[in-house]
Amino acid sequence: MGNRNFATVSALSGFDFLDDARALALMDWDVDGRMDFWVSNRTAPRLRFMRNELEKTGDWLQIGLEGGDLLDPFGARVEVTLVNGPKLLSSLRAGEGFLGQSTRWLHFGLGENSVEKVRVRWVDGTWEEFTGLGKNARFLCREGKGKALPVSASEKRLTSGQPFAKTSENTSVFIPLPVALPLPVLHYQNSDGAAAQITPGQGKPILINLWDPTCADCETELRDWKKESAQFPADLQVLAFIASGGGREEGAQFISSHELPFTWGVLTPDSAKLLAEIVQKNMSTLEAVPAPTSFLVNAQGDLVALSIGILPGKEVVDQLAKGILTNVPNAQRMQTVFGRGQWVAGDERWIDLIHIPIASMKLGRHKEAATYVRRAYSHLSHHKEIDRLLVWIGESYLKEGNATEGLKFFLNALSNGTRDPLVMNNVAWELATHADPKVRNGKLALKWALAAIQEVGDKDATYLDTLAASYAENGQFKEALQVVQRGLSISQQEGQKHLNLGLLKAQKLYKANKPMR
Amino acid sequence: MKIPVLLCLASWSVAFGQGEQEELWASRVGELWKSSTHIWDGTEGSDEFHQTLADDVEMQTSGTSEDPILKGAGFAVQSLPIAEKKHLGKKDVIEYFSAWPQLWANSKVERAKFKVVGVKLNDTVLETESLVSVLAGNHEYNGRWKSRWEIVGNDIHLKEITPGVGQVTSLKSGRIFRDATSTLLPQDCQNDPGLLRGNFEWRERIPAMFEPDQFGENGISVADVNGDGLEDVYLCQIGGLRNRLWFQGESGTFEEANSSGLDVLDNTTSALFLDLDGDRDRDAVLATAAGVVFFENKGSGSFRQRERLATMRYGFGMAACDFDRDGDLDLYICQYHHQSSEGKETRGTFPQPIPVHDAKNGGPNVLLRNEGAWVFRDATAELNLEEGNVRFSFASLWEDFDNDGDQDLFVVNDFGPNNYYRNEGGEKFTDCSDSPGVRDGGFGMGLTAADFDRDGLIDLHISNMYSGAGNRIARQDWFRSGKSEELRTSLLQLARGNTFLSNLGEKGFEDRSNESGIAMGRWSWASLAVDFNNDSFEDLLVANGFVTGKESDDL
Repeated sequence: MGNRNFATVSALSGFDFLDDARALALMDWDVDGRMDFWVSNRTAPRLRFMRNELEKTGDWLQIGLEGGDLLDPFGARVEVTLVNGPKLLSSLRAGEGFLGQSTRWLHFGLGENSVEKVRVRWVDGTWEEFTGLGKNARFLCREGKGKALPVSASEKRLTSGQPFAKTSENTSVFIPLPVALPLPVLHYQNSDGAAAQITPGQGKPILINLWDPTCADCETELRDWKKESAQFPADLQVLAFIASGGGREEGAQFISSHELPFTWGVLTPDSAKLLAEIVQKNMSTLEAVPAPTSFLVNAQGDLVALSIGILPGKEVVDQLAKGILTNVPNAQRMQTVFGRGQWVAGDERWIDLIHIPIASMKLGRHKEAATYVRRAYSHLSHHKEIDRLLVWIGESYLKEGNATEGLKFFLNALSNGTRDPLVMNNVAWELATHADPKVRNGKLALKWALAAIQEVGDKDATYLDTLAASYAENGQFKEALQVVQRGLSISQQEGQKHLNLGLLKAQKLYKANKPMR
Repeated sequence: MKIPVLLCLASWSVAFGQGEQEELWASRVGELWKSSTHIWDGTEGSDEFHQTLADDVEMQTSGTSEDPILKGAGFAVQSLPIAEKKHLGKKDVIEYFSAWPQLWANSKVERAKFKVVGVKLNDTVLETESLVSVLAGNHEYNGRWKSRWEIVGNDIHLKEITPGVGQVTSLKSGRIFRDATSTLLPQDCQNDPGLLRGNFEWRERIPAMFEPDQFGENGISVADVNGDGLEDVYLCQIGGLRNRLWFQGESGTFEEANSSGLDVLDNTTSALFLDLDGDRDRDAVLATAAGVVFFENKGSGSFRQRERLATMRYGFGMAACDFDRDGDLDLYICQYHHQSSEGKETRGTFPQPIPVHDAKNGGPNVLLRNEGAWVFRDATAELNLEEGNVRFSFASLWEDFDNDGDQDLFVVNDFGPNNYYRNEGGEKFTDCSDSPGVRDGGFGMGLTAADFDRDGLIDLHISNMYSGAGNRIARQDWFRSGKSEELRTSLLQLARGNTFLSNLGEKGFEDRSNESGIAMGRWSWASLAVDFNNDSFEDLLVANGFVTGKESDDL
């Protein structure tokens, strides 16, 4: 064919594993002139060493370089001229391929040729010819020396040649969290079927267990806890929750037949979802939360560890004895799990928890959300949507007539230096139109309405509606009407029916010198 | 008016949509071909294929193998041409199909793969193209087969099989490489979950706060770290697992260096070992989730942490050279992305690249100039390297591409064209990304350079994503039919596969990917060039389970 330059030998290579391979690094481990390599994988095993076992190859030559200024003269180039043949080039590099660094020994396959000349172009651009090189061996070329040094290699033998294999998995795992996470209020149906809630942070540590009456591992675990419970600290509150939304009767039977001494109940679907989300935020691979899963919560109401699968009662005792509940630095806490090693980053860890108050808001529990936001503010304040959340909470307080709290959240949102036009707009709207005169503040409303317009331009009728209302609250009806007019032309053009109606109502009010309510 | 507050975070979606009719048939065809391979390897499961054959099915005959078109140390490549003859009818075709591997191999088929890369639906006629790879003994066949199918309701009948010109590679010995990991590493590595558990299993155990990278982009380095003349190995790991440094002993086995100071737990993408302070030992620089961190070698392979550039949290490939020839090593570091506005996201999540074929919201790459005494200064802007520095860059490589004596810089990018900066004597760089061949435009992952054609100019191999789905979809007419031809071409380019750039000197690079036979590298990450069989022609090793070997006479 003549026009194909590479032939595929993938299947013949011995390297076509099912691995998700990533980085490669070359190395002639046994210095036999047949280049071997290391590979890192995403999958197990994490790395492999692949030895080149081609039986018949040509001659070879390997050259190491040592610079005057630079130990490894990265960028230097070696030119090997073959007798009656072409020139072979190779450069010394730090970083090639993908995330890899290869051997310093530059490798030249010679085929059946002999070497005529070897030249090195050093980093400063000067060429130097080297003598004393042969074939099928390693040579070191030092800058300015002109004569290459043969480098002998120790003999290496392969004793076996077993590939790495995956380990069999024990699926249970205890996971201390690097940062204690504030746990929200959980709602459940207690053993009598009555609505109940647990508010973490009441001064007692809590061990929460998610279980299911039909799950054998759960039975094993809870019975083990019962056995060990005498060793549990006296103030540890153990709560066994069914997370599947139902099964209270089966649960009661299970608890009584095993005489389990734990407080138990059925989590509301919303609280079960929240706990599931917390697990998934921490353990991003879990698609569903398995039963059993356990949560260790300190006296401040912060989640300090998760356990997926069976958590032996003895491990609970051990972990508590090791002080998992107290605020040990995260690095130390992690070492108990992952063995040795050190962190470069300190305690600058942070996890996105904004979904917890959002979930409360979606359920109409704005007070719960507010409490949580205050407790967990350090985990929330970085989030780009925190100001929106604050406004949302503020709006809910206003709606129930709590102007003081509502305004507090508004001002908090604005004091963060927000550039979010939605935040500005919604605050301005309430300040301009709220029924309660304690809430209204025409001047401030206008300030934020204008600021919002500055962010989004004057092409959005929603924002213009708010601006007009702010003018009206300040008694500037002429300006208000001009803005409404512009808003109307946009809302009509865009076919925004609902908005159009609102603006028409506004126009009528402002023409009558009445503000929007 | 109030705006309803709705909070949600954007999620990243895959480049190519699915669910179109062609895609569904393509996956069905893939299954049917898979079923057909059971005929060859003698295992059960070929019923489905038998049933799909139409009564009047035709199959084009392959010619027998001729003289080798390539011959090298230990291997030979032969072409399998198309013959004129056709087989007609179900019985004949099955007979011929069953015996087909014996045309080129005298041993049993061990493994066969079909990968559907082209699909065209015209009313009830479906035409497909598949890459076919068959392993039998010391022989490996690779070809591109066309087939025609008829769709009747929910059924599909195979009407015509046309094997194209194929290639058979034969090795003199069994296999090229053997996994010898357990022989080299210490005994306790055999049951070390840190090495024997995959990324997914670990992410079930490591809290997301530790940033265990979900893509598992963790590198590996070879260097003589302790200065004993034997090369050692350093494995980068996901957040929560310590990086491993193994020292090589005289006998060739390795021992973990227990007090190296490099047992870092932060997610580490790559590591370079190089003498940064001029004291003739190899120091270390790591690209980690805690930033780019420098470590000084105290002389025998134990390290002390020095500078930490904490803001560079998204570093991937690093490449070093003395670009300004002042006697010390400088570094170019690719930052795939930068912190998104969503706050401190964890590793493995990143901002959506927009648009996917020309994203300019990647992270800033940085050239760090070594100022001595462990001071590394960001010299990117003053050296004119800010041009085009907006991509999702994975890897870069220093090489004197224009043979003027200084080190030029090539950067491969995911989600957009590549960058090429020519070094002007160490004073500044000129952005030559518009030179022919450079932009390429695959989902670039890594690159390697060598003088493949032995003309004195260093050529490039760029590993990209090869997407069967992308290839199929981008070739279909409905795809982007409302969009410009240019966009369609660039999307097709994105899925094509690996790129081979022949260096033409002043005239830039010539893209010879398709001619050279390297394009189909599946989803490639690392690629490296070296002569594995010592025939004096450079071979290519591509990470993903794909290896290619060498040359021919006309390059």
